[in-house]
Amino acid sequence: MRRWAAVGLVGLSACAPEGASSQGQDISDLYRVFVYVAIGVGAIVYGLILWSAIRYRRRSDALPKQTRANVPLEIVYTALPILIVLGLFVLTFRVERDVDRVASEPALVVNVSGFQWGWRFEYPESGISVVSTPSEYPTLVVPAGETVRINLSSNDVIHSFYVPDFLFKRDTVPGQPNRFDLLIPEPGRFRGACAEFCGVDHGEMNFWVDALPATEFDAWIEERAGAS
Amino acid sequence: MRTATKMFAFSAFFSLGVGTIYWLLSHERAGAVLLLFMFLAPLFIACYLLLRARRLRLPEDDAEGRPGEGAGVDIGRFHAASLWPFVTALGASLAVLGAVYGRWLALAGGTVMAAAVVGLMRESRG
Amino acid sequence: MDRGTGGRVVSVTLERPPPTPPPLRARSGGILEWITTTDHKKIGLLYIGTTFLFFLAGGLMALLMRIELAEPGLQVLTKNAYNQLFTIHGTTMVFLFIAPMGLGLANYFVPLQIGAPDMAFPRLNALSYWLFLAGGATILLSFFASGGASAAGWTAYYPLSGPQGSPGPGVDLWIMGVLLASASSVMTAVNLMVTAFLLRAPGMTMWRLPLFVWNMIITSLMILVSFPPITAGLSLLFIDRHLGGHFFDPASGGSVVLYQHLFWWFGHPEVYIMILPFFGIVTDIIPVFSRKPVFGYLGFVFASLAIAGLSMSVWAHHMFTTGAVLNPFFSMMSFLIAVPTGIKFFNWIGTMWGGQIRFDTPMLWCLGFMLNFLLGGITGVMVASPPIDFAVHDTYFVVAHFHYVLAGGSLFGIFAGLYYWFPKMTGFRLSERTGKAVFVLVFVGFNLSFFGMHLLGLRGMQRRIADYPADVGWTWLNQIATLGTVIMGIGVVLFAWNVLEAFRGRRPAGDDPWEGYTLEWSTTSPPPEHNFTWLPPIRSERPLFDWRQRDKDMGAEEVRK
Ligand SMILES: [Cu+2]
Ligand SMILES: [Cu+2]
Repeated sequence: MRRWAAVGLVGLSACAPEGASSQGQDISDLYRVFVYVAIGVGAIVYGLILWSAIRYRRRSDALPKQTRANVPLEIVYTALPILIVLGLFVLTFRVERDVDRVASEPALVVNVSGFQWGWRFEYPESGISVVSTPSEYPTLVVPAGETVRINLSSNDVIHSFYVPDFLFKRDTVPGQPNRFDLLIPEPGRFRGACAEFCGVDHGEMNFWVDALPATEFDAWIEERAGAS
Repeated sequence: MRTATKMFAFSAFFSLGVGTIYWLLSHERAGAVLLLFMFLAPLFIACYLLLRARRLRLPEDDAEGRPGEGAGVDIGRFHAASLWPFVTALGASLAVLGAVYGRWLALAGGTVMAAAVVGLMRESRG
Repeated sequence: MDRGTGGRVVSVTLERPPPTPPPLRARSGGILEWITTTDHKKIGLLYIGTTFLFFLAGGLMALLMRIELAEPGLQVLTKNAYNQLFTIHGTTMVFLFIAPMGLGLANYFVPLQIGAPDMAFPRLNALSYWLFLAGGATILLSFFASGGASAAGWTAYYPLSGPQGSPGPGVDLWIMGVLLASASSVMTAVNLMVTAFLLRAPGMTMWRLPLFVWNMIITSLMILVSFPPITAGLSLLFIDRHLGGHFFDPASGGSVVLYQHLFWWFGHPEVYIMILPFFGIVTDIIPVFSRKPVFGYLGFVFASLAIAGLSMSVWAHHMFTTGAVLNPFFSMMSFLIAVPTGIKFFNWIGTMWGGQIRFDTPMLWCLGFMLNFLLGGITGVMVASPPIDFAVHDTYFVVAHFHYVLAGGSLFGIFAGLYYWFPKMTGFRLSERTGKAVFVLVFVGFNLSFFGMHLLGLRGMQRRIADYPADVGWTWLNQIATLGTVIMGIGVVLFAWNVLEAFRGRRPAGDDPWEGYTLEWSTTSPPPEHNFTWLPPIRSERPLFDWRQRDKDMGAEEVRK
């Protein structure tokens, strides 16, 4: 029993991706807590269901004891879940506060806008603009290890800026600008997509996020700003 | 009917509580208005039941009631068969299709529906 | 009990079964009879049959989508066709199958379970059915409209569903179909409530109602408060599309988020409208097959009421990623809903505990229901946490979650109800062996289809895409899912055979094949017009059990003499 539980734990935590951004790491940690609680609760309830189904399968025609209620037991199985969800709520609340926190002075601001069917990444400080082309997914280039502010907008329909490795998405809602901060500790290249269904080529609204070491990022900015 | 009254009153005051908390925390109007109406609508039914049905003593609610009590009480008509519901629905669907495909269809549908409603009413009286 | 019935009078003799079965009124089974019927049982059968056909249609759409997704690239469908299919698949399953199947079963069995001769408003009942049929036909036939059916998703978010986003008539037909279906649901809800409050047999107090009836009362309450706003929302959408309105258009001061509020105000309670009836059915079946009373009757009813209340205050948990709602409030309320749902699990376990459980097909489906729904409930608590939702929202994780609730839960509950009540509705017995094979196929197929989708979602596969890259490692999970869907499909076909075979085999079921507890088992199978010629005295929530015990006790006394 315990070995199986251990196998299950390993298996399930393996499917919780490590967050590649610091916000994603917080979410990944929270997810793991939820998985452990889920395994605990699930094991008890699944165990009880299967146990009673097997143990109490019909063996005779005798009429079993006609138990109708057990008030203390009912109070317990009402109160315990309330305590569990309160605990989960406190954790959730703290993590969401961290994930949604925006720095007063981010190192870089990028204006991201979604459109049918592509993305535009604008760097207001340097005037750079990266746009989807029919043949290529655009790349959002950001410095690793620094806080980047992402401002989201859309002028046609709702899209959603989603990077699976960051365990994060946020909608681009027409008429309602959104923003969030992103801190990617280690350099890397990550796949992004549109998560909110937006029409025929919804599945083609992919993009890349390149987190570059600070020096390479500065070089990129210089090159692009000079080019435009 | 006391259980029914209580149920509607519970829904009303539950929404009042949730709605108040929601408004104070969020100042978001759409949800607050929806919750306000979810307070008012069941409250209306609860008040109606409280005023109208308080004296209504149903044999159904008598814990010692035996099948057969309440015999002879006229609880309404049960029509064995009627074509009018079908015609009403036909008219209604023509009418809404008219909203998509053109006014003439809506007009036809409206006429059919009106005729069916008249039919229903005459059937009830007859 | 004399009840005026449009000129005719039904008189009911009581206390003892009549010596001869009541004569069924012989009438031609012609089409006119079905069109003009106001008998709740016939309308119930019409509902059940029609919703099942819609289920087959929606299932076929799912199968097509799964076949498309079995491989990266586009093989059998265009993107646009795929988008239409998932839009209408969702709409069909929600508006035309699960919810109305609950209402259809209620139509048949609420009057029977409370000892009533019919629904309170028989003609309104017929109108509900015909409106529902018209709505369903409008939605499904919209595939043949110019430009095809709506491809805006079953949620029809504005601006995608707006005049620029979806110019064709598909969305309009979708709106009209849903409006017809929701008008029908509201009427049925009123009808069911009045029936359950006013037409109970003497002695059938509210706290002796079968739990299916209680859950239908509460479902009706939710329908009454949740459908009007969606009706308004869709009407506003139509006005925005065609009559120059700007309710949702941000360029003219409207709000895109307002549409989502109106939609999910309805959309979340709808989830419970789709599950509470089947909670009720399962909670009627488990005691019968465990030979025990339900454990914690009062707790169950209060849990249902709590679910109804809470489910009206969690709607924006579908909008966590919009950045426009108060996430912690909706998160807390959504967490809390897990508590009354958990209570129900303990009701079921407590009922089985110490019982003598017989695993006939209805009980097997109940067991499957519990096993599947539990996972859906657990992942439901996860997605109620906004940070986790940021990760999995609009991915296959959520698809897996709600299919575990609606297919693993509601669909299994529907099968439980159909297997339980089929003998009552037709008078014939289903083959148990075929039934068990259907269960195994659907259970295995379902879990193959949907379990892997949790992983797909965690690995970043977003919803509503017809195609996916080959190099992201999603292919094998998708293939397993497709295989599972095929197995489920075979199971459903076998179910159809199961039913047809029962009609051909004509094995008489008897009035009470399961030793049931509730009043529907005290009449004939199928019940006569106006349902009862005899009723046992009602002294608890299981009048028939009491009656059988009394017979047994008297028999034992005679033996002792
Ligand atoms: Cu998009
Ligand atoms: Cu929900």
